[in-house]
Amino acid sequence: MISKLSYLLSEGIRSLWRAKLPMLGSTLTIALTLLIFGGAYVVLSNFDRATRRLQTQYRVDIFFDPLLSNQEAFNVYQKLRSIEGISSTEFINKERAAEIFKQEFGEDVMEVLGTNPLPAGGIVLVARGYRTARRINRIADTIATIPGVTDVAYRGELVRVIERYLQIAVYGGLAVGLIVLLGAVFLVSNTIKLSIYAKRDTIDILYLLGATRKFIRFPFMVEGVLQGVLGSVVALGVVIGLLDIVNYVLEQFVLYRVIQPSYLPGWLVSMGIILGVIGSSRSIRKFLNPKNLGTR
Amino acid sequence: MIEFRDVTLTYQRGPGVFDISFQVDTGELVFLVGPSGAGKSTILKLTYMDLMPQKGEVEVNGFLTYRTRRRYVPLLRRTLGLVFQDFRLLPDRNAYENVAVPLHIIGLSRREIRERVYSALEDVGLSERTHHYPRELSGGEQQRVAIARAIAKNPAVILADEPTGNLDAAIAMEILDLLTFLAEENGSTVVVATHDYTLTTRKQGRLIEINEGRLLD
Repeated sequence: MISKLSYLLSEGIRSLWRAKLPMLGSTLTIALTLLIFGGAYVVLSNFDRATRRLQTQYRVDIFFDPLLSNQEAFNVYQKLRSIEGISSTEFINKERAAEIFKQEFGEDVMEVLGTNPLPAGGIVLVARGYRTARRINRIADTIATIPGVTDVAYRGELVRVIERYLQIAVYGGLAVGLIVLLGAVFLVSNTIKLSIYAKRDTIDILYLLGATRKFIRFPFMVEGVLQGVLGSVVALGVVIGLLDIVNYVLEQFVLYRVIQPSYLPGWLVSMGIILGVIGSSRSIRKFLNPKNLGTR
Repeated sequence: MIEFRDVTLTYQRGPGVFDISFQVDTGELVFLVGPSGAGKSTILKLTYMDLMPQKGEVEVNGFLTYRTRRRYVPLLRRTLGLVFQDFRLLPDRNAYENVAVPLHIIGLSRREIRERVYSALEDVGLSERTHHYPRELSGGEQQRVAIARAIAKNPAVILADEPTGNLDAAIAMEILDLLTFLAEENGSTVVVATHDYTLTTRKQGRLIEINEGRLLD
């Protein structure tokens, strides 16, 4: 059994070596497909990272009644904490509000007016699962109904824009990914089919000599796995190279680096193996049909 | 042991074989003789179950056509040694590897495979050419490799379909002598399909004549 298995494994490796040209074609097809996937994966994960950076936009500013003292305003503020969908809150008393005003406008209200008319306020950050325009709206509406709250402000339009683009990116990415995947399986299995076609006599002879279909299929599967691994290594090399070039160019202009997702190597190699195996099994199926075996 | 019982198989594009009945006993040498297109290859294909009869049944080494499902056909073929007119060697494997293939299929250990391959190649006089590829061998040598491949697994039955068809007369005789000698030494049953009657006169064997798909009395 071990002897047979090692023979079949070595047959797979050797058969890859024997048919170098068709192997190169299939490997490059897999590499090209994975390059498209890898590129899309890098773009999407960087887009996701960028949108996560914008999470400060998922912030609601609350202004309490200016007539309320700090203590009274704090009592109202305590009620915010029980609202569903809030990840953190911060209380801004009247003095802190005046400081912020000074930082932003350069004027000290106490010096100008002799009194502090600014209301106490609060900052609320929306929890991750609630960061949609509809849910933020609902949270803001709930806050607005609390007695003692006079105004609620958030950047609703920006949230809606982010949401829309993210949705387009995700659905668009999925649709394009699905089309590319189907195309890739078709392309890879056709390329592999060409290389198997050249071996149809070998398949017939093996069958005549008493080989089962499993015995015949196994080396082709090994070949598929190896082509997938080789293709993914090529694709990974190109993606990493391109990332270096893009980052080198970006460095000249902005303080932003495109990152390489940590799962990229594992993801590309797995995709490569899956593509190689599906391609091989799809192609060999026709040649292993009992109706087509031996009688050619 | 091979037995055909009232076997009929017709092709869509032409005749096949009709009401064929015969038996070949263990260790027997049989020549299946007839002109081209007589149905000799069809009978051999029915024997190694590449084709299945439309009527009647074939029994080979305990395998019955009507009971043997497609996926068990390889098990039958492991008990047979097949030799073809066009040799059917794997072009990208050398003589040693070609002879070793059916032994790997059976699942023998590497050591046993090595011993059997070298012994078989020595038997056919090719121990000096083990690492030569088919393209580097003459027609006669290629057929010797094919015979070594058939003999190496000690098959119960050897089926040879026009084994000398592509060889000149002298080499043809040599190949037939070798095939029958090794089969006899091995105790294998041998069926040789040929259109060449002169070959059959040189060997002590039973003749089964066929013409237009029917056996002649």
